Amino acid sequence: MASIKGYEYPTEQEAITARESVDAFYRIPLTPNDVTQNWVDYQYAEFNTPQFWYIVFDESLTPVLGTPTEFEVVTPPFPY
Amino acid sequence: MPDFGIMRGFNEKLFGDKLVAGQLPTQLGLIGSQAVGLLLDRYPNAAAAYSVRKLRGAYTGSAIRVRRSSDNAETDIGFSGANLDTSALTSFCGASNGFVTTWYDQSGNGINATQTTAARQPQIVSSGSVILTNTKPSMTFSGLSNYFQFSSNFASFNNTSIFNVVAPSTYGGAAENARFYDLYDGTYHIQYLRDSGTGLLHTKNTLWQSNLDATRYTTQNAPTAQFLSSVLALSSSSDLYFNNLVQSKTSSLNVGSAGTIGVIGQRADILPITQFLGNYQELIVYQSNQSTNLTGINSNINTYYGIY
Repeated sequence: MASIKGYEYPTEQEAITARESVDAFYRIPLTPNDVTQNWVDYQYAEFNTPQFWYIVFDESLTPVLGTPTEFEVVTPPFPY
Repeated sequence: MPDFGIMRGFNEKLFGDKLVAGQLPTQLGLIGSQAVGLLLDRYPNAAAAYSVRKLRGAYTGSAIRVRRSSDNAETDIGFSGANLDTSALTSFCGASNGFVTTWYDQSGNGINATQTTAARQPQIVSSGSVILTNTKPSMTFSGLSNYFQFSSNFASFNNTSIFNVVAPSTYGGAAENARFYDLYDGTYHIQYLRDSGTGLLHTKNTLWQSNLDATRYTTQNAPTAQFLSSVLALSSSSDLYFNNLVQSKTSSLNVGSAGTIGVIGQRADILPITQFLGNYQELIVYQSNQSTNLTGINSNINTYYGIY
């Protein structure tokens, strides 16, 4: 179990929409040829019940996504 | 026969290469258009090779692609002689930060290591200054699990030799199980990591999510200082070296069926609790047994970076 500070989304589409709003704010990608395609990515809490998607907090996200929350993400017990 | 006596000492000091009659010294190669004593010229046929220095004379591409924080513009940065072109790097970044989007593969196989998400990109310039480890440029992996993924897969191979230069900063928090790299073929993988239970460096050549197979511990606590690791994951044995000192040898599972992927700085499934924190300078992967070249490769690397 890991305590994560960030933004929770019940569906993947909502996580994608949040990511797109951050990309638009920071104008990423700047040109079509850029390697950088997103400002931030989202992750899947597949071991949680119910499962959800989340974006890990970074200060650069506050102007777009607002105040983060704290939540628990279940991780595999032995990270082999 | 020309007298290479004067050049011999200079060449060996700079690059750790022994000069032999009939062979151009490295420094002569650097003066000309082609460097002949670079690591992959001396020990060729790497499957993938990433570095902050030039590794192969015939390589005409860039070292890295960088995004600057001031406006998120990107550009390729090449070499100045055998070194990263730090003048071009600082000129591009100005007073802002620089992040690496692509670590180009110098092997010729085009397996570039990329990161398309800004928050995951390792940093190489901080407020206009190139980040250095032991006087050489390095990339800082920090914060939100920075990592690179190989842009394409390896073909199948039966023996693997891996050399990397890193300087971990901490193993706290999510870096307790830090993975320096992970090569994964869908069934087996070769990882180089710090074990959270013992604190020791070790390599795992195991079935995915299994701890039962060829796990090889070093007797070396994972350091927070620059070091060179060398792993020979062979069909007959698995050998592990720390700063050219052998740590363990034993039987190996091996890895490398067609489609082997690679990740630098995290486990192949990007599990958040496996992030590497610290600085990276070089990773070279051979799809072959380099045991006979091990000392020479380690020497070449150490001579450039001054590790031990």
